[in-house]
Amino acid sequence: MHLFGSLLTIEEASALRLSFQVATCAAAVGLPFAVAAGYLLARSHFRGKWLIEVLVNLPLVLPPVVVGYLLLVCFSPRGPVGSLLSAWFGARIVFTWWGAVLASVVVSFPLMVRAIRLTFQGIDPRLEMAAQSLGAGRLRTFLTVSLPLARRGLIAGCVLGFARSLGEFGATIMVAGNIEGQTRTIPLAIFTLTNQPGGIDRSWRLVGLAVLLAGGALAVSEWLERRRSTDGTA
Amino acid sequence: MKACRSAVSPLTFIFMAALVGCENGSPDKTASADRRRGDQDVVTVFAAASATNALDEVKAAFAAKFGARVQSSYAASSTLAEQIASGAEPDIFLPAHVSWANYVGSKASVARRRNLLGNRLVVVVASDSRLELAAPEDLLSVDVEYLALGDPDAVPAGKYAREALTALGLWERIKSKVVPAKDVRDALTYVETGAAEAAIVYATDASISKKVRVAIEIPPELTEPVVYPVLLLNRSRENEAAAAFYEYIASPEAAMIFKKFGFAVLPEGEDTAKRPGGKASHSREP
Amino acid sequence: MALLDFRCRHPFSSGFQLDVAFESEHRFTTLFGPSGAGKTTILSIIAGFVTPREGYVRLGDRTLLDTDHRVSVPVKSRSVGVVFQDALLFPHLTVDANLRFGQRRRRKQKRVVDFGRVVEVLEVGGLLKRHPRNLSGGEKQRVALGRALLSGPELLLMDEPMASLDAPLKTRILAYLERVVIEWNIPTLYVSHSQAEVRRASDWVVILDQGRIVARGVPEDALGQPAPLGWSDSTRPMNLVRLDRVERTDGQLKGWIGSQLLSLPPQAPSGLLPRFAMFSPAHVFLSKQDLAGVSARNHLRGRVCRLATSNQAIFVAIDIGQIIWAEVTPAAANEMNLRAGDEVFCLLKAHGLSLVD
Repeated sequence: MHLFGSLLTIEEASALRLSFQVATCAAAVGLPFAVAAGYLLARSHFRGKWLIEVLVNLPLVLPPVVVGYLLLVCFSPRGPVGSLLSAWFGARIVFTWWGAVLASVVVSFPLMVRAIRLTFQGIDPRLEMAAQSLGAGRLRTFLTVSLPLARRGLIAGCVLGFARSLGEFGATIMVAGNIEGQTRTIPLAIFTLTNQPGGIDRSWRLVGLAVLLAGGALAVSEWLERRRSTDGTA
Repeated sequence: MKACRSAVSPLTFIFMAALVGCENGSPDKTASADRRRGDQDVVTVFAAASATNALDEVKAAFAAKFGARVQSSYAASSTLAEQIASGAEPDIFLPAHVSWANYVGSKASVARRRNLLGNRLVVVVASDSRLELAAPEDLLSVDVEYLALGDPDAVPAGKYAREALTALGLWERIKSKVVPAKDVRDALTYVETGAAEAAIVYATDASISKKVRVAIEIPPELTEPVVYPVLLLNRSRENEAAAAFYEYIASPEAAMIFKKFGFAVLPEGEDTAKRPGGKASHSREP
Repeated sequence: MALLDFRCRHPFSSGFQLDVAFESEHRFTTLFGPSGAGKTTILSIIAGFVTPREGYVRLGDRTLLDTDHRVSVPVKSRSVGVVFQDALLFPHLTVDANLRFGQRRRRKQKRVVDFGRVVEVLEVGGLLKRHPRNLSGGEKQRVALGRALLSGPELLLMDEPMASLDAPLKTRILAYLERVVIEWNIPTLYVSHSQAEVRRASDWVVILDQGRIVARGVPEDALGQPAPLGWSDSTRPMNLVRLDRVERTDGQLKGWIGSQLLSLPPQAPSGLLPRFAMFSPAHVFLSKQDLAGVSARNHLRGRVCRLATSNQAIFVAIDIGQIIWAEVTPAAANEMNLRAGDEVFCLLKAHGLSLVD
């Protein structure tokens, strides 16, 4: 952050660092789950499938504060998951930047799954059958055929998750709180400023940063979409 | 763009709330036209969220007595103040801190103003908490991992809480465990769900939630008095119902309702912002 | 004990019922029939891609599927190699990696198939570093064939692998296939809708139509049944005669069927001598005596074996050393009073023949 030392205030630099950190982690953490869910929804047909689809898409249609509240109830030390975490690992998620990561993962999950599922659907399932006929089990087929072919779509899904996490506010402020230097990401920093008289004027720089980061991430995603090469990778 | 949606959501919210708040027509002429047309019976009130329950009852009593309708918008004082500054035109503004009344005063034309309500700060814990807290100093204990406050940089209740803790010499030592909540409701939620072991909120808020109980009462002399001023904005000169509501809200009848919810009602005439040499702290910007 | 034993009953999406049962002990068996007859479905069931409502598949001494006893071996363990119509090579792997894909898991290969030999026989050595997107259709099919082979299967399934190739290429790939079959002797089940392919390559054929078996046997017999004779689409009857000897003199090609001379059409100088001649039964003129002064160069003498009626035409099977079919109108057959045992002459224009390598 020394590079930006002269351009940004300490608070702004901290918000930028946190935003980047949280968004990157959220994309990384969410990816394996999104891949599993995307593949399952793309390829499997079973009776309860619609229920999985509803659950996956729920964070997309619920207001983020509601999502935040539900996460808070689950993960705070009294909650079902939080109590287990603190009993087994002595770990606490609420009010830490891991809480921000959690909120971002949940909120961007439907978007990631959507992109990844489409990618898998675009891969000819007969390729997987061919692999199996050559003796590859389902896991090996997935790892050596499906996944490499889905590479581009997975990256695009990650970028989408990253971009969504950058803008995450409602759930984050609930679960992670608005703690300067720990969980105050760019959206939360902007919010803090707008709550002070005349603070809106000071928040434009952060708004600009947020637009740049998110816009950059989306541009990368678009570019990846366009670069569909003819090698058959999706 | 989805990514920017949340980033500018406070601004969007302000924009949209401004539209809502100005539902009688944002251009002044339309509003006045409405009024002149005989729609004299609607009073628009912007009030701090902490006054929600009490004010709802006062509204109902007023409507029953005078037959006029009161529309209210409850939000954080900061949000409401920004809306007014951006052109929203309620008749009455009831913030939770004098600084917001001053801010509005500098941005819009205010007809009348007085200090209306007072409040007290309390420390709450979950109702089934086994924490033994007798005095504010106990908050330093290691059993209290997180202390939830309204954001001291933004929320009036938080500002007062920080003031009190500073006055007790505790703030520096305690601030690492402070969780700034975006409003008092969230602070209460944190305690209710166990995310935070304790919170400092208004007494009026604590009484609303069944899942928390008051552990400590913060001595009022530790802070500047918690004052909720009430303003009658100038545009409403022609609105008789608005003026009537402004009077009603200070009446003994309304006072009874406020006290029932735990507010203190300040005696009439205490407009300290206008009192020369009055406590300079009231005009202090947060 | 038969090598492959297959039975199934399964509803089609189009409303038909697939209801077949057959056994085969032969090295090269073809499933033949028009589109939609169920041939590909049968292959899918044997490979394990589709589980039928009722079915039984036994390969050698292994039961791959038995719905009555809820037995279904997973695809990866069936040891069945598949060559698809559109090759289905893995686009993200080189040809080399594609070929080797099935090799790793074959610890207990019953057949060890040597990589170098496969590359040699299929002539794909120069392609190894390329990606599928840079291969032609024929090259892709050769690689697909090699890939299936190298997984050391006990049975090769081929689903109309020539369908997307043009005619000259078809025959070239078929030649590779024949080499493969001879070299490694892997039992093969081949799906086709070309009579010529069947006649050329198959030891045995199972003929299907609308989900049912309508004939089975050695190609000459089975294809002479009424049902296949009556088809008029791409599965229509086709004669394919093997040329016992071919000579090129002064640019002219001549072939022999036994001792009978066949004048062949001029051929582009590709250097390869044809091995088969193909012609439609409709292009065969019959005459009770040998005619002079006619443009048709080929007068083949033969004996009528039998007559078959189908679709307002009469098909006459004639033994000229090999069995060929001639298609005549019922009126003509009546007039000529054709009977089994009669001697006839078959007149063929040289230009009516297609040459096949």
